[in-house]
Amino acid sequence: MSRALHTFHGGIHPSEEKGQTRDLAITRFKNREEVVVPLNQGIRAVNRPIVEVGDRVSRGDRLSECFNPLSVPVHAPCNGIVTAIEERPFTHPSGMQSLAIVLQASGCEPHDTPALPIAPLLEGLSNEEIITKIRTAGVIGLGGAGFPTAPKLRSGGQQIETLILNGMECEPRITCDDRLMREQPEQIILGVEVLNHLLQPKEILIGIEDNKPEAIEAMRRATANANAPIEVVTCPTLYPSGGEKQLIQILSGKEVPSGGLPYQLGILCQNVATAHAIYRAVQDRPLTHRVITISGTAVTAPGNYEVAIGTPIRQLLTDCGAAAGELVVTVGGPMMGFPLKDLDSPVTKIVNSLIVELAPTSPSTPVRNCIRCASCSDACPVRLLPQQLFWATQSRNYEDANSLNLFDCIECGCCSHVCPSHIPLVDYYRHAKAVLRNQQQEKVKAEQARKRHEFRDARILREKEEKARKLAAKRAALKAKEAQKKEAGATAGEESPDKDDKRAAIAAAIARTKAKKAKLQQEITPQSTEAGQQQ
Amino acid sequence: MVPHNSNTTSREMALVILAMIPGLFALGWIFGPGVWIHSAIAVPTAIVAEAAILLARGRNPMGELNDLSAILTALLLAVSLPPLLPWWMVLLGTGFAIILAKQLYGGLGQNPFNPAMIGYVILLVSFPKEMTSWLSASGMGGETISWGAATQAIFGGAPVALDSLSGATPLGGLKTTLAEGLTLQESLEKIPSGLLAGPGWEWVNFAFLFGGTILLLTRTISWHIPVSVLAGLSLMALIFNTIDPASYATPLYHLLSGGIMLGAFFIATDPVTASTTPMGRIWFGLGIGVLDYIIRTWGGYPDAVAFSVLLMNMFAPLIDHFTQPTIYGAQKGEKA
Repeated sequence: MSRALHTFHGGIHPSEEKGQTRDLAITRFKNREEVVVPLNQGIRAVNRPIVEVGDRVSRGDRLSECFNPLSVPVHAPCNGIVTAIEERPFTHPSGMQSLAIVLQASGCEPHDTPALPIAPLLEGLSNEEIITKIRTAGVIGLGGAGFPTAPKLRSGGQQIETLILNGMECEPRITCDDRLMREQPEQIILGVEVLNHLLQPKEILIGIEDNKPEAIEAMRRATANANAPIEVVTCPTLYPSGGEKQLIQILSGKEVPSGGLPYQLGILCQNVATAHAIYRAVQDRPLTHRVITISGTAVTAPGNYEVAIGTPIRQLLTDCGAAAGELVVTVGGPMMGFPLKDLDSPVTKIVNSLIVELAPTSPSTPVRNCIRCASCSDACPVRLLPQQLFWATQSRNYEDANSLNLFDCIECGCCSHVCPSHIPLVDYYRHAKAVLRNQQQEKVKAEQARKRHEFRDARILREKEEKARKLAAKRAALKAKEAQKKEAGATAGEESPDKDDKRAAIAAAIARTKAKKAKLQQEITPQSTEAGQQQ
Repeated sequence: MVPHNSNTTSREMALVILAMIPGLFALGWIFGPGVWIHSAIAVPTAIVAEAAILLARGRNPMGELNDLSAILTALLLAVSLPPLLPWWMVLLGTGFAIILAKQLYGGLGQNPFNPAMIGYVILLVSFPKEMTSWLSASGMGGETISWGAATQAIFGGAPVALDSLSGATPLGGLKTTLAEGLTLQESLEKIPSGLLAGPGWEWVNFAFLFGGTILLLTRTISWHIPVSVLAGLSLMALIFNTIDPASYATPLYHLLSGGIMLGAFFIATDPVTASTTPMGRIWFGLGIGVLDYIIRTWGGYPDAVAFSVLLMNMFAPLIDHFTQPTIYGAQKGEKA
């Protein structure tokens, strides 16, 4: 059965370079020494540790609790003892630190994931209970962006017509989803069945690029006896077809509204590895391991490894036979990945690939001036004008960049790839986005400060008024008392004595001020003459 | 760091230079070796001028000269010049093109106007007589201009004997005779003509069309600008030829006359000074085609690729502003 596919604008054919690892089966990485589980996983993961140093934990134990609906907890990937809860290097472009739970590891073998029917697992569970299971298992999108799965499944309460499984894996070099689809297609399909149970979509499409024929075949076979209307769709290889928005466009012809989410179109998109994790989650197996591709010329044992989340990358590299000398490790694919600052950073849930190369000895080709050739806008899948964005960001005209739809940029890197002047365009956009986000935050902060200040002013004013009111009331009471007294005095026919007193006091004050003024005058005159003499 | 594909600015420039070879050959074959001598003067001039300014700007000349853009500018100017133009005018034009029109704006990518066309127009308005005197086509039945004669004319001042060979271009001649009140048919009989247009000119245009096709096939340029330039010119020619066939030449005559193919494929497509959006490139090209027709037909100059390109260069930023493509997921009715 073939479907009419749509196309997205632009796109590129970078050198795929998947050959190094695509035929290497997933092997389990054996942890030794310590495992560093960062509490910061994916986006907005505000996590609080629930273990203490010295605690003994078993694999699968929850290590943290979280309160933000967009965050998920982390779990112990292995048996061990908590040796520290401290700031450790984090796998982030900035090289920042993050609070992490450090375990002395012993026995890190992940659980096997046998393919069992899901009906008994889901029996008697409400949808909300299943989604909660998925959340407490710490499942987030494993395709790279790391959006938590549970809120996505709630879909703003809208009916999902089309469920899309993303098995495109369009980035060069990465083969971990390919291998997972080839080796454990049944488990992925079982995860899809869980999604089908939750969402009841009209159709389920699994998109796979045509450069993975074995995966397509395996998934087709696994789909044959599935309890859901699943169709495996072969898509032409074109980067970035695996971008969520691009895949939705390919399969449905629809475009996700700018600034919106796919569910507004009745579409939900999940990565195949996430489906696998969902299947594990309903078996009460939390997300503690993931498959990552390790490739590059500086490792002797490249491959696809099932790795405990929290494994320091340095350990992995040692076991993969990384070359001695200065290494450049790219986290993620060559198009969208970032260079790792610190090799002691751990594998997180969103790390799908490590590319290990020796640091280049010769300088890279020089960056030349932009010649406005528009190769970039021809390649942009979002139909942006990258070269105009570049001129705006280069001149720090971030507002202009914003009005050129900077925030619709998906940072796929197509523009940088085709640029004949070798300008690192995406780096400029990332920087500009960061600056604008900062400005936005500053604005919010300033707004909050202003509100606080206004509230304080209002409070002071209110208190003053209250005080004045109380005082006035007191005075009135006093006056009433005096009036009573006066009344009593008036009957005696006497003039008010304090009126004279007041007059006398005023006269005395005037006299005092006059004297003061005269004295001041006297003091000023000699001083000024002195000053004149000095000159 | 995102890996780059094999394309580089130098490679693009080199491809454009290579694609000019058919045109250079046709011009030399038909109008004598003057164009080759001019190229030999213009290219070193451009390199020296660019290097001098780069040094003055404190840049490394070797690092930027190898983008080949200066050589391309020099060649574009050389093929636009009448074949026996004195050497110092070539020098002057190239110097202006590189120094004034390109480097003083900040070098490659920063100039708002096409440098080669600025050089050409400065020469045209300064030396109108020399700049509008073309040789009659020699390869097509006219007298052959030898290397010696061409060299002598270019370096030694034009000898009187050559005056008989030079004259207005067919387009210029056509305009003059039409202005005298002759019909198109009578004019075409009076001025020298070739198979489809002015003698020899159709071959020059075919040669540049061939080179341009190579650029299209290698995706060095996109189809938008050349196609719309030719469409703009043809459309205007078609309209006026239909209204009054006695006074206005056919679209085919226009398409194969003057420097239109050179202009459409090699000059208007200079990315630095052209529009960059897909729709913008079409408007930009149409504008050049239409302006070229207007100036050719009613203006004071026989051909107008240079003026039309420069005029549209001015509009490129404006066109870009109004032709921004609708981005992915833009809401209907919302400004893109």
